[in-house]
Amino acid sequence: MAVEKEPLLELRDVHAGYGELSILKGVSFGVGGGTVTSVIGANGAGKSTLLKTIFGMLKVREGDVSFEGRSIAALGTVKRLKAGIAIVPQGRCNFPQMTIRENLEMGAYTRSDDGIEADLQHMVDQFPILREKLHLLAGDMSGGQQQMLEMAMALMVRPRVLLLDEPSLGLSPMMIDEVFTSIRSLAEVNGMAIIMVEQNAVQALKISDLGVVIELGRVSATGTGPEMLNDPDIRKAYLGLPVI
Amino acid sequence: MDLLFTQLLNGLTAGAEYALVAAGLALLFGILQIVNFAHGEFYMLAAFILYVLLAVVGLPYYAAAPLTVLLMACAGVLFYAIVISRVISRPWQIQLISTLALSIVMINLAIVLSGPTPRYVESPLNNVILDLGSVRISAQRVLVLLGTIVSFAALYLGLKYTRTGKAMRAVAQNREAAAVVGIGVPVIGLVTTVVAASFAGLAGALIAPLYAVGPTMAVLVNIKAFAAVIVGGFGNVKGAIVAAFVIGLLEAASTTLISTEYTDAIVFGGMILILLFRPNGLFGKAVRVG
Repeated sequence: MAVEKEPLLELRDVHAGYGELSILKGVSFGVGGGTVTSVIGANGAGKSTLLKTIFGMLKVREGDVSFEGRSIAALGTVKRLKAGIAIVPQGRCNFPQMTIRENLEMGAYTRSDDGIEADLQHMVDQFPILREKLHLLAGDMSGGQQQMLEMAMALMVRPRVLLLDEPSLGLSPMMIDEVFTSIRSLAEVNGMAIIMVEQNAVQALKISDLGVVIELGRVSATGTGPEMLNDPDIRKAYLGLPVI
Repeated sequence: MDLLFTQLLNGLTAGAEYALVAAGLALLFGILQIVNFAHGEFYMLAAFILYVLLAVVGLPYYAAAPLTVLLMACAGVLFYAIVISRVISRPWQIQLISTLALSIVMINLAIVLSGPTPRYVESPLNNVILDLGSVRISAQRVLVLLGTIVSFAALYLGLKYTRTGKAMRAVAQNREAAAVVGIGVPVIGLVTTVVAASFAGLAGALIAPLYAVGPTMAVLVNIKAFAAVIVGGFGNVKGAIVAAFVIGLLEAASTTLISTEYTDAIVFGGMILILLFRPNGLFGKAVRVG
């Protein structure tokens, strides 16, 4: 798998948290374009906080986040969206009383170019289920379909970095396979860097180029997907798999 | 028949008054989840602004009315900066107390500044009587109805088709998702507050010439507007507007057919009945809790 020499997104000693609570206490790693990265760790380790910090919903208190070689630590979420960083947070993140079409248009809210309609058509090609329901309300779709919609909404900004928080949560096993296949192909075909937090760590690591283990706000291990899947400590602690 | 038609017009005028206030309340609640107890007082403030512009500054009505709406939009900016922006992410108890406090301060300031004597606002249209066969209607009432219809049509089209209107609906439906797609939630908060205050301004500019202007003129209007918002399905702007007109017409009907004394009892009794059978209001959807 081709990985760019210069990482597309790089975190150096990142500290972040809520109020007086410090969650991330020095996180460093880098990801290249066209790759999938899985962040795994126990509940409360700081995985979602990490994604929110990269997107700019939380401030970087110490350290730095750089995107395409430039620091973005001081930018707000709108500027990061425009730069090419999008997020699909955990939980329902669409507009239930708007149609699928309107939701996709809202996904492109920060854009003002005239390529939005073409991208919308491209999105319904990529997620055919959305084409059939373009004029139905988002709130009337199944959980899995809404998850697809939310991913498509995030893609409407043509991101270079896509952050996914629990993309398989609450989905049926068949739907999970479909979501993971889409994630892999998005990275390979569109050259995006995808960083996902996933409870379903085994399946996530299978499609990942890089695995990052977060423990108490720090990176405790990194490795390729297969390395992680074969590491006895990680198998035992995070994957619930027997040690080989 | 003539009496019925006259009462229908009275009902529609009262309905328009409640609807213009209720629309702002429903917008603030639907989009920002803020219950604004001071909203009726914005209507009172607008009526006083119109009075000052006409009686003190000496502007003609045609200039004073639009200027009143404009000044109320500015009051909306102040209201956002001083109150809403500070309480928008605080618990609902704090929001409730701060808007209630503002309402009390505004009423008492008005009493101190103007005294309790009611004042009358003159509009040249009050004296223009349109003769529709056996029914006579003042041009001011026609202006109230036309202004209300046009402003609601503009609100509907604005919310449905403009970029900012879509963003307002987006914030109403899912505030986190709105932030995720890059909608500046504080900007939408400001726009919503300005629109809500402008509707109260329009209510003052159009309706003040029909009734007496005084510090407590909006107290009962505010309660009826709240009733419309609740019956319409809390936060549903369309529902609040429809319910406001229903209340106005119900008032007119009970005044004509029963007695003025029972009007409020009938209106609020009707509200209780509707809520017994439809607890989420006429247009409200059931909300899943937990």
